[in-house]
Amino acid sequence: MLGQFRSAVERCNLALGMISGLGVLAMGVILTYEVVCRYFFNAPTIWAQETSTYLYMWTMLAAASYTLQEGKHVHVDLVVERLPGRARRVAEAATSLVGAAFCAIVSVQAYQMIAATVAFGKVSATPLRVPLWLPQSALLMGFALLTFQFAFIAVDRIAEVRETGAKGGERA
Amino acid sequence: MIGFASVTLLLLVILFAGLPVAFSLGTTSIFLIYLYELPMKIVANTIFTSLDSFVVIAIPLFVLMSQVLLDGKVGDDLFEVMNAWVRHLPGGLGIATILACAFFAAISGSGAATAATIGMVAYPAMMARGYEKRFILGLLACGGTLGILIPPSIPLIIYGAVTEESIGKLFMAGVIPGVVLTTILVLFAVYRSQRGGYIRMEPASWTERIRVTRRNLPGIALPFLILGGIYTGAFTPTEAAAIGLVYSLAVTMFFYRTLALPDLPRVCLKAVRTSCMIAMIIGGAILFGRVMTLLEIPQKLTGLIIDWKLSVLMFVVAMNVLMLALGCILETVSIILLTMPLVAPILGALGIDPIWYAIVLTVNMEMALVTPPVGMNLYVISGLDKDIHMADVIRGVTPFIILMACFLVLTMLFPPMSTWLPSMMK
Repeated sequence: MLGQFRSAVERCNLALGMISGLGVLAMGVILTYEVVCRYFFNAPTIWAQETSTYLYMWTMLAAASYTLQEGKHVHVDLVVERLPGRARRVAEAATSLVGAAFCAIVSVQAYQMIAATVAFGKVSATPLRVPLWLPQSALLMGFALLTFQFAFIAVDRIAEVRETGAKGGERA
Repeated sequence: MIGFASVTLLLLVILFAGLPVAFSLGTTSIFLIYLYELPMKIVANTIFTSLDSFVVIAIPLFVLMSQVLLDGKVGDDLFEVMNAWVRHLPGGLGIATILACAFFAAISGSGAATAATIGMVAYPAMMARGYEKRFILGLLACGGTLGILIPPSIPLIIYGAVTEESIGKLFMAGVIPGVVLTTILVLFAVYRSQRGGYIRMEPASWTERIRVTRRNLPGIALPFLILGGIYTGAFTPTEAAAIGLVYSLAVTMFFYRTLALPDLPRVCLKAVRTSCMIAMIIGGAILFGRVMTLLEIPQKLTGLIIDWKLSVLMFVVAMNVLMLALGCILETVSIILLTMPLVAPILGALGIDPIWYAIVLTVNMEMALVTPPVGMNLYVISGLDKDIHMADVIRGVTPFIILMACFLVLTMLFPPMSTWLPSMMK
């Protein structure tokens, strides 16, 4: 059950990473289109800049969990990599739990922010009048996935620590 | 006070225990918010707002453009062009390597991308020509750092986003120091090669030079397109990044034919990890900065500095020492984001030109890229080949660190080197 949920989240991470990558490409195309319109047709768009900002939020948040899965979030490994294997796994388990807790708090706060936005019907202060819950929900999705991913890493490390502990016990 | 000290300790503990920088900053902020009873809703709000910026969109675009050029083997072509022009000179391949780094730096905003792109082609070429291994490693690690000084530059975009300085002016401020540092590195390569340790090469014929240059003209045009557009104000730095990206795709896919349509998702996926990592650090650091501001830490710090009657030079020297220390353990984006919210008000109070300070900081960050134990370019270079040991990279880079320290002093002593060109912009 947990295994199924986990592989679903991990596949979701990869898919979101792929989509985000192409989303950045789309931002480039949109903004180039804007410059072309401005210079060659003397008709700047009203939507290019705003749309690319929303794309930026979505792509960066959607890829956050994938980036964690790939271990690409910058961290200080100066001390950790000098620790013996077991101590390192304990450290990784502990920090992942802290990370999961932080991301859970942000998720809850993001949910409350979106609920307030929907309740007041807030829209962007631009000609597009985009409902603000659209970009805001990226925050909830991104940090919810990060919470799961941190939790998975913690579960893995704890299992490894137990395993080595059990083996050590047998030898003793 | 005890509460604040224990939270600082907490930050250090989780940071060194290996929690990614972005989340360490976020977690610490939450503890501070809880401790000082600040409104918890600023958490989601601030992280969301940190992403709501047109300026920082340039970062994923420049990162993707670098990745396209790296996977499209444009670095090989740049190296080939430089080679054709300078290979017969003493230390010719070394000169070609630095010039190729400088040129790629004018396309890419990252030191690691520059070192990786040029390193992949220059390392085997220089090894085959009998150059001393440690010298090559140091040269590549250090030449790569030009990536963040010569515009475009990701650290300068982040500096501009935090201090609200014009990114265009910051970019232009890096041009002359970038050219000076390139010259210093070229002279050093020539000097080193006088002591032997390389095989001299035959000069390329003029027909070969013109043929190679002409074939690679689209790649060579790219920095002029990006920087020219920003300097003349034809487009914003973010738009320049977008145009550069689309242009790079067109060149690699249709002109050089080194990238095909099916490669694109993989190229984009690789790039998005780096951009996302940076975006998350921005989010974490801006949240941390917001909490600091609510606790009036920058104001208190500024007051302290003014009370001490520190002179401008004293302050800048002290900051540089601090940044060098931070540069040994953290990477550049985190350092800038962590310190600038605290430093920016002090710059204002002491009447320090923020554009000049940006370049001093960037040169310092170039050193951070190559100072052990945590120097991004050291890892990039040691990853070029399995025969490369970290210890050799570190030894190789040492004379270059001394050289860069001298250059740092130079940027501190001659502010016009940084501020003249941006002052010429409209």
